[in-house]
Amino acid sequence: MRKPSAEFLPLPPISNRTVMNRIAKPIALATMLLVVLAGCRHKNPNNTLYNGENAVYFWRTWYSTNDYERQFLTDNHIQTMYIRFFDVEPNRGWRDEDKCVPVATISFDRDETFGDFHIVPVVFITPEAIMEYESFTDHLAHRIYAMCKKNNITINEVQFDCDWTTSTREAYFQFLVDVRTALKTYFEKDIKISSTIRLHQLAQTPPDVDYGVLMCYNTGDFKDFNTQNAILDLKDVQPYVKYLKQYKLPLKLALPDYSWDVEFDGNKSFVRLDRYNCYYDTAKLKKLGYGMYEITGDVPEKAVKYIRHEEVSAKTILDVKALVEKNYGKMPVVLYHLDSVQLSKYNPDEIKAFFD
Amino acid sequence: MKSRLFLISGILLLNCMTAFPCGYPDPIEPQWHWFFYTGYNSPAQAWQQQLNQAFREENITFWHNRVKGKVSREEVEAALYDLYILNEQTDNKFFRYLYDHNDKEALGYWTLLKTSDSDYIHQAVWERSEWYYSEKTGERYWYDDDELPRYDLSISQVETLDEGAIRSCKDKEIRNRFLLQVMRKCFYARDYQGCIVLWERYGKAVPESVLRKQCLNYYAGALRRIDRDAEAAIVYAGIGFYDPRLHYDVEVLRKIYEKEPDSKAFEFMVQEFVNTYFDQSRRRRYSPDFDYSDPAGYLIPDTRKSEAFNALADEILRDGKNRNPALWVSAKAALAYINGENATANRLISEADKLRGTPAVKDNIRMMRLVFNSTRNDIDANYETVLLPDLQWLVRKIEKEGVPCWWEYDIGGAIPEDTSFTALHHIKILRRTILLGIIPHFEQRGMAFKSMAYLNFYEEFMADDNMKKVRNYARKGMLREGVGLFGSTVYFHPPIYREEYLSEYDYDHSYTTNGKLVLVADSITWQKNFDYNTQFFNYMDTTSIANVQQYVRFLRSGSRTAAEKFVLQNSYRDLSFYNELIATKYMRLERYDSALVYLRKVSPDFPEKQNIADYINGEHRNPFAEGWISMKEHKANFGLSFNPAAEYDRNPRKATFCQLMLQLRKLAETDTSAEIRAKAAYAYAVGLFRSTIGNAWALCYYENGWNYSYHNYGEEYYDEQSIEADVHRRVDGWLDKALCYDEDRVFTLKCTILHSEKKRALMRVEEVKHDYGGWCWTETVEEFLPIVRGTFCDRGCDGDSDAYCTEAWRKSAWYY
Repeated sequence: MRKPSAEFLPLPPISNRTVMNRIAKPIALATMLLVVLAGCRHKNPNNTLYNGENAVYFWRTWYSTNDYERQFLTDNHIQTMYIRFFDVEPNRGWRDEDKCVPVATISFDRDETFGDFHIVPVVFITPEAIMEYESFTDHLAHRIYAMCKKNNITINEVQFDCDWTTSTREAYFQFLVDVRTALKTYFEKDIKISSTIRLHQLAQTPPDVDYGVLMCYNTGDFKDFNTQNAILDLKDVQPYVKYLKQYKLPLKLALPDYSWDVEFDGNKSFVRLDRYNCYYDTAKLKKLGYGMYEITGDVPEKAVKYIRHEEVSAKTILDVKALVEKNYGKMPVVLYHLDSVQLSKYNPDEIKAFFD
Repeated sequence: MKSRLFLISGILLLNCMTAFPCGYPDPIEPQWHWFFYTGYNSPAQAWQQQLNQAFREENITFWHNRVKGKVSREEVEAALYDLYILNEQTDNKFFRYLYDHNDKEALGYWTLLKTSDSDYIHQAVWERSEWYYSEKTGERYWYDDDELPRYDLSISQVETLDEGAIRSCKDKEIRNRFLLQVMRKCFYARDYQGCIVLWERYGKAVPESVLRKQCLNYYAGALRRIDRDAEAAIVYAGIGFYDPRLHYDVEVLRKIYEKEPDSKAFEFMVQEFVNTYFDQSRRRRYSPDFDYSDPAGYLIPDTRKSEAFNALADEILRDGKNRNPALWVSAKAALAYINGENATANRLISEADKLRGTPAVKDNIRMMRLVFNSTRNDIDANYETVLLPDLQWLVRKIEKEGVPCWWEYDIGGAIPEDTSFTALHHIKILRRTILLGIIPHFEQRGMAFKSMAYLNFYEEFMADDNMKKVRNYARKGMLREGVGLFGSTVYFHPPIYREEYLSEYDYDHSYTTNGKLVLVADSITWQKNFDYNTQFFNYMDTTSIANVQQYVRFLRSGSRTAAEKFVLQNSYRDLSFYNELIATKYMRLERYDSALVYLRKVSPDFPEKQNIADYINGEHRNPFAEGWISMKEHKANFGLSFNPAAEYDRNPRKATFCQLMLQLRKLAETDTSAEIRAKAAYAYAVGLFRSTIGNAWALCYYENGWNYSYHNYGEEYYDEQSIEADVHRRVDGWLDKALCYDEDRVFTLKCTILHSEKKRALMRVEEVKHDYGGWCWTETVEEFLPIVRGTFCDRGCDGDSDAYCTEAWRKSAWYY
């Protein structure tokens, strides 16, 4: 007679004791876990920033808000706006007086006012540029000062965004020291300095700043044709959260609300990011899966052939938030970024949950 | 001592001169590329400016046509480029027309554009530090200037100057213009991928035009900035833009070859590769041991580059996919030539001539062969015969294309049309062949007359019609009318006078140019006389008399080879011109008898026709009238049987001067009376002094020529020039003879003063060298005050006041 497979074996009879064991043990374990988790809620001693204030990034090149965005700010009690002022990158133009130059400088609509918002200028510095920081630190500080003065913006803090690595860490850290001094010179007061912190940077010594903003977006390699979602993927975050428990810097948490199209040519090589999702001829698009589309018909060799549309679900955002806070504790949230088109993808409850 | 100092400083000065004087095109100037059929010699910015200008013209024309010419071009131009605000109240006629005719597409385009900031971003990027940010409050944009008008800008308008604007535009022509504008916006916002994608999506629809060229310019620029250099190089090459940073790279050429083995852009890129190789090899020019006289010796090539190029060329030739093999072999020949491997270069150029190539490449091979042959040392016996066919071919080619004006081919940054560029290149090849090949060849062999013949041939060939007209007017005695052809724009050479030791005496120092003293002696000067402003004239005026005589004999000789006939076909043949010049050169050496022989051969009206007479006859130019004594004093013959100043006044000619000088010398040397001998020696010294370095200098010199130019091909001219430069010693010799007679106190003082004037002249040489503006006379005045006072008192001054005497002294020295 053939031996029955395990899945068809009859179950043994269940005694009362066994029932008790089966119910009580998980409850006890769950209770213990809750106690442990409750104890872990503020497990990082540097977690000192949470005070219920909400914030957003403003990352466009023209500062102006529409009705939807103004309502969004009010409804969600946004008090702080991190406004990207400009980027710094190596000079690739014809003029070569400066090793690095500011690019994509924001312009401010004359009719906009900032009311009671705390405005924090943000400057993105490319890793290549940071190696030349000595050439621009003073220019940069003066430019922030000039922009604030001209546009009637009062600030107490400046944030820097740089994807520094071990090879550029020393330069970036020294830049932060130097720029603090330079800013004090121009503003004639102490200016708080904060820095974005990317997930991979959690493994490194933190920079000498007043606090960091943990960027929980751009977690994947968007240039890779095989990436499913480069904006945010829980599995991309998981490997890094272990560092949060001991991270020696107060942190805020930045969460994404944006979407984009990543475009590839016929060789599946990256072409560009289209933040405006502007490929127009949808009739020519054939869906391949994972938000990947192929443009049918002949296209030139280097022209766009594949488009991967990426956006992040509210569930993913909340899962990531839970995971991070589980390891660091409750954190103030900064939403990246203020854009009615992007924000309208989420309902108000979801938005509230992001901030909660 | 000071004479010696002067002599030494003069020789040092001569040694500092380059082979070709300033004002004449430097034959090894960097842009003087000789490889290939075009000579793009302008920096990137000039090319960009030219393209922008072309687009501006096209743009105005397009919109002018759009309104069916109902609005003037000026009004359209103002609307396009000067108007910042566009709304229904705009009173510009162009925009009013669009409103009145409800041209929605055009209005939509302009509304967007006028409210877009790309122009100003561009402007700010180019004109300011990119870190600049105005701190002024109340201004709207970070690049705001006070002068820029404010305008209301809706956010939606700015943000819709994007791909959507292109898509939604129904009018194809305006749609293409939208494409350009959105590409510009992406480019200046550094969204290079965006710029590229836009072109790839919409570029096909743009027809061949300046607009397309402008789009491609942005497209290539974007490609370059994301490190797609090879692709950028191809696009740039297609629109005629050369950037050595892209094209001077064998790997880029290789990538282009792999992509498109028979690319037409190769002609352009290979040309630029070779020309850049030539430029990069010129480093030695900036080293102390640079030898200007060695036409090939200034190159230090980086042979690794040429080896890499040769390897690629060999590969391409083996593959056989490129249908222009002559291009690659001729480029190899050019590189070999730059490397100093002349035999290889000659072999390769012959080989290239037999291969398949485009007409431009074939033409270029012929020009290269001419350049190569002109510097060969192994064909002495039939040098000219070897050169002749190619030289004749090139001259005919230039004749056919038309010889541009001097000011056109000596361009400084501006780019003429492509066709004239080609012509310019042919002229440059001719110039290089003659100035850097043929003339040095003959100089090295001591055949200056041949050098002069080729130089004269070249300049006569290059002289434009106006110059020849001026000469024809001059020959008819109507030089002023001829010069009138040019008006005030005429420009042959900058007028530079021999400031080293002349400037103090004679003329109005009313203005300076480039730190040089400029004379304003005549309303029409020799500067405007072609015959006295050529390198040929400079050469003759500075070489030995024997060389000029030999050239004139060559010019007049009957038996000639084909090459000699060819080169003499364009020569200047007015023998009066040559005889007058030879006579003048003799006068500089005090060989008045020889001078008279040649002056007798000069047609009587020649000095008037050539404006020489004006210089000689001018006020205060009597060689025997001393500057510090009034002409009234010269009425007397001061002890001689004749009055040289008065004699000269009666017939102010070079011949008169020579005859008087001969007469005075004879008296000074042979008269039995010590007083006559002394006074004749003095008069002779005055004549010698004033006809050479005094204000009667025009007797022995020309405004240009010796005064202006120094050539250093030959060695022999140093002897003659030393004699010329030694005029102070010669004058002193005659004054010493005069001072032997000491019975006339006034006469002694005059001799002493002439000595002192010469001394002051020497002092002035030093002062001018150090500081033209800061002259110090006090010491000199103090030194000579007693003598001056005595002299003037003898002539009736009251002598009470040192100040008066000082002033009088100053006047005497400065008055003329």
